[in-house]
Amino acid sequence: MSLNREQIVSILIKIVGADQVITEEEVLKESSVDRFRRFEELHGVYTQPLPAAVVYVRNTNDVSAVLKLANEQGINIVPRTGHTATEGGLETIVENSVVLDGSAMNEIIKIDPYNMQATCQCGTPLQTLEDRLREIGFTTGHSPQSKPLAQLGGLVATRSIGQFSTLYGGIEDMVVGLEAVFSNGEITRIKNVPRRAAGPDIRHVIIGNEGALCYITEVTVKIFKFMPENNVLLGYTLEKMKTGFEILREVMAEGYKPSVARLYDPEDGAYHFSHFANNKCVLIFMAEGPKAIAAATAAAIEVIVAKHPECVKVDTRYIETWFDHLNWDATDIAKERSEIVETKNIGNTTEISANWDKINQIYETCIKRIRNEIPDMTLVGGHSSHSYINGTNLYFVHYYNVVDCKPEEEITKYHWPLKKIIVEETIKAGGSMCHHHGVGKHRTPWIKDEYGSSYYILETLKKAFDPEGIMNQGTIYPRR
Amino acid sequence: MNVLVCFKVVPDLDQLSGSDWVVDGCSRVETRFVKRMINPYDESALELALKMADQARGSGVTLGLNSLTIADSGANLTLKSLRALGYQEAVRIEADRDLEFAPEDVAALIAAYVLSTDPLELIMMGRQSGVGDNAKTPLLIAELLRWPCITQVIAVEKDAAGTYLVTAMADEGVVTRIIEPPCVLAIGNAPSSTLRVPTLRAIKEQSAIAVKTYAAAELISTSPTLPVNPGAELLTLEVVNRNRGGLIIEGADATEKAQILYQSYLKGWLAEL
Amino acid sequence: MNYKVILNGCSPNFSNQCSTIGTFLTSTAALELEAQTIIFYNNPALASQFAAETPTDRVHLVKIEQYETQTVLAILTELEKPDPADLYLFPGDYAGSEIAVRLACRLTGSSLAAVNSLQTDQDQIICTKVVYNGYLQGRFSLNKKPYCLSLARGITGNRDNQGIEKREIIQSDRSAEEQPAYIIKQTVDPAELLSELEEAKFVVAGGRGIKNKENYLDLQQSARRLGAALGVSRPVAMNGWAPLDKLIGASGIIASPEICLALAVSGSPAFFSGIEKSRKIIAINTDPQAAIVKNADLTVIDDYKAVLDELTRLIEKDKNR
Repeated sequence: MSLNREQIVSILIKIVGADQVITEEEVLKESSVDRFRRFEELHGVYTQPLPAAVVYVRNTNDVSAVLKLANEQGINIVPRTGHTATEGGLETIVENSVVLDGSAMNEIIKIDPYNMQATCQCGTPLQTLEDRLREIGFTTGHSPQSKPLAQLGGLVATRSIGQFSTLYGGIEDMVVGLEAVFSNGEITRIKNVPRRAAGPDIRHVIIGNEGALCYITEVTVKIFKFMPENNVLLGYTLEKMKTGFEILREVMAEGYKPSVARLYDPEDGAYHFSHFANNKCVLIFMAEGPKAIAAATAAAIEVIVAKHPECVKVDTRYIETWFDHLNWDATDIAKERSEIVETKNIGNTTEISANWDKINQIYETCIKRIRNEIPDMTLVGGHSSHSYINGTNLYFVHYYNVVDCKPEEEITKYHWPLKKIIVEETIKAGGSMCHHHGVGKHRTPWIKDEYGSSYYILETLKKAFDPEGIMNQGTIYPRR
Repeated sequence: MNVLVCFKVVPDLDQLSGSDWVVDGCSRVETRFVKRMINPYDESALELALKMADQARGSGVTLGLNSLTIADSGANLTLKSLRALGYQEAVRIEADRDLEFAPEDVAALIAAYVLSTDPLELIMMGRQSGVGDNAKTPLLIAELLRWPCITQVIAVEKDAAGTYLVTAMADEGVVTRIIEPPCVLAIGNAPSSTLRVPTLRAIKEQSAIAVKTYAAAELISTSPTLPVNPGAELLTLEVVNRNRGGLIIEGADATEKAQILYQSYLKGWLAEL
Repeated sequence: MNYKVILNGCSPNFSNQCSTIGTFLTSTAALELEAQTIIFYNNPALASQFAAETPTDRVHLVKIEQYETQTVLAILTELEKPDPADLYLFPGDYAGSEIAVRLACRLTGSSLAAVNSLQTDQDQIICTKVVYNGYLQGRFSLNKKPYCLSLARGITGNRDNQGIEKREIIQSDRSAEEQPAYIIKQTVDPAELLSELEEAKFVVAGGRGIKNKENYLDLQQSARRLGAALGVSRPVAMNGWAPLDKLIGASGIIASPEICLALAVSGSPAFFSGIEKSRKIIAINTDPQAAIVKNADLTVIDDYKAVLDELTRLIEKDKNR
């Protein structure tokens, strides 16, 4: 028998105390969505059921107690920390859900320079950890655009990646040990060791689970020496994306690891670089690390680029200023809000990945189809920002005017059709439909296509770890 | 054309960090490396004109919009975007030197252009623009053309009767006037005036059509009787230092920080009031 | 150098104009107080009070029907063209800023707006004003007389001009002057007395980070409880969250309180110039990199609502003792 809202709130108060249970309507509204539904939210329209409460957990035992209760009573739990998710992962699509917010668990537990590790609770803002490390000459190496706002728990749960990943890797390469709580209340701790072969790597059940399998309460990450004085920034304009992909591939295949390797097409480029790159692609590299390595990496990149005469070197001061202002902060988000409501123009992104031999074809096909098939587009472009030896990602950027359409219909009229084109073309070509934002709730229709026969492994994890289906229903796995 | 909106593309100065503020030998700061934007007050003027055209169309009146900037060819993209948004014309004057602190020269160029085209009803532009911050150009244009000028405009509409309803801030309050054109409008803090965004389709239609460009010297030669007013000459520039030290109050949470702030500082300061 | 002051007696801020000009005059070495002030006014009951407040020893009171730029310009040109002064000073309000520039054209002189300071150098004058959105200060020279200057907003002091003995008071009546033909109809919605924010000793300023109109309304309540006047940065007014007359900054009100509490505002020079005369500035912001952090006396890096709630509680508690 399901509990009603008042009963849910009352039991939660018994477990964590009234101070930790929030039921103010404004908070509940804001907690029913994430950035995917920001157009309707900005217009004061809330289409999702309001959660019964937002609970701020103080410690792992709180999490365990609440999950146990939810498991027994069939209450949908939405785990949350920084609230910067972009794919609907935080939407409370089930009636009387409970948002379990870990941002009060924000202690940096230990910074261990000898072992090159740092341990934090899930609610630690990445910027806070990064600032603390830089004070003593270290860095996490992790710099997603959401860095000023995002917290460790969510960053691990979404398999996030940052601007310097081509050298440092994604979050999965940085995580050492973890503590996570499962739906039955079981608290599990994975110890910090450099590597082991003691069975499959179970950390990967947790990393990327998007709250659909467990609740992350503590994270240990590797740290790196911070040597910004050795950074070498390189920027070029060029004519064709295809050339840009070739250069990226050669840099990676030859064994170089710049921390930043970004290729912008003219449309996306115009948005950022119109003051020096008119109608051209822009290629940006940063070489980082110990002095000799950074210098050698930069020198090698220059040689590779020089083989393509269409590339013209750009004064790095253009790139430096742009780079300094790349990350979001509260002011940017607030400014964006008012511009969207006034102009009815909104943009969002779809990030995919593929092997080298498919990436340009996916890029060209998607751009062409979007221009032809989706109305009212004001910007369609993309950039590659995370490269690997065997391929790269593509970050499609799509802006449109919302015309003759209620706020709550914007997603149906524009955003889903856009994602459908990009997801389907990518999967058809053998690529992945989700490079680093997570599946959320809006790419679930294609999850089986994404996995093919290996869906068996993914779905069995859900059956094993969340048999009652209380963990963030509708995320990764289609709603029951 | 009924309405001419003049605008300036400026560097986004908030993107310069402390160490970038270095004044060179010519009394300028290097701003090449930051991205550019339409001067916010001019952006308001551009959007207000579009809103006015929408509103007029609703009453069956067609309003011809023209836009103008004095810039190098880097501004062509913005001019084509304005055409994509519904400006019937968008023209560029190519100046032969740096006009940052020369509003008299800017006004002369714009007045010469206006005198060389068909009669206009309104000239709209922002009250001032970043870098120069002269706050003189609209006033000088009004004097050169012998037109009236209303400043601190926050809204404008066209009537079916051919007159304009102009709302402006003044020292005495908010003034609403019904006026006969012609008139110069200097736009102030107009709410809800973010420039709308053109669709790709509309931009594509405009991209092949060249931007009409005028050389400054030629324009001036068409209006030899325009009075030449001397301006102010910039001698030096220095960085304004507003640094007070910024002591950061630490604490476990917001409540504790507020308590420290109050007990150690604010309480005493308030007592002295 | 001989000069004249032009003031708008139809404006509710006449006293501010006098105090601004008075302060400027006393801090400018080259200018003696022996000069004429021309005051355009329309309420005869105020004429003698205006004369008494005037910052110079000679006054010319010109009665008009209402303050209309074209009319005032025409009258001034007629009065001054035959024998112009070397220098005309205008306060930095809306009227002063526009008339100064246009008068210079009519008298074939030169002009500068938003001037901070003035020095004479033989026949030239050298003025300073902020440029580059307030990041830099420029020094300018003007060479063609008459020099028509409007002052920067916010030059205030405790200047009391009442002590100046008035050597000469002339009156003229130009109320029959024809109103300019381009205005068919005009209505004025009178402003709230702006001086509340300009004169307040304790100011709370809210920036874009307050996020929405509801929060602005909450802030209004908090400011009342704190006994502070409330202002906002330009984006807040431009988004329609707060009325335009609450705008603090280069394009709005320049406040000079003892204490300013700046909440959720990043502190660009355009805004900061509106609070930089505060004796003490406290900033509350979630962004430690915000420009205002270095420019404040004290900063709390945290969410403004939580900090403000606690501050309000503490302040009210002490008030009620």
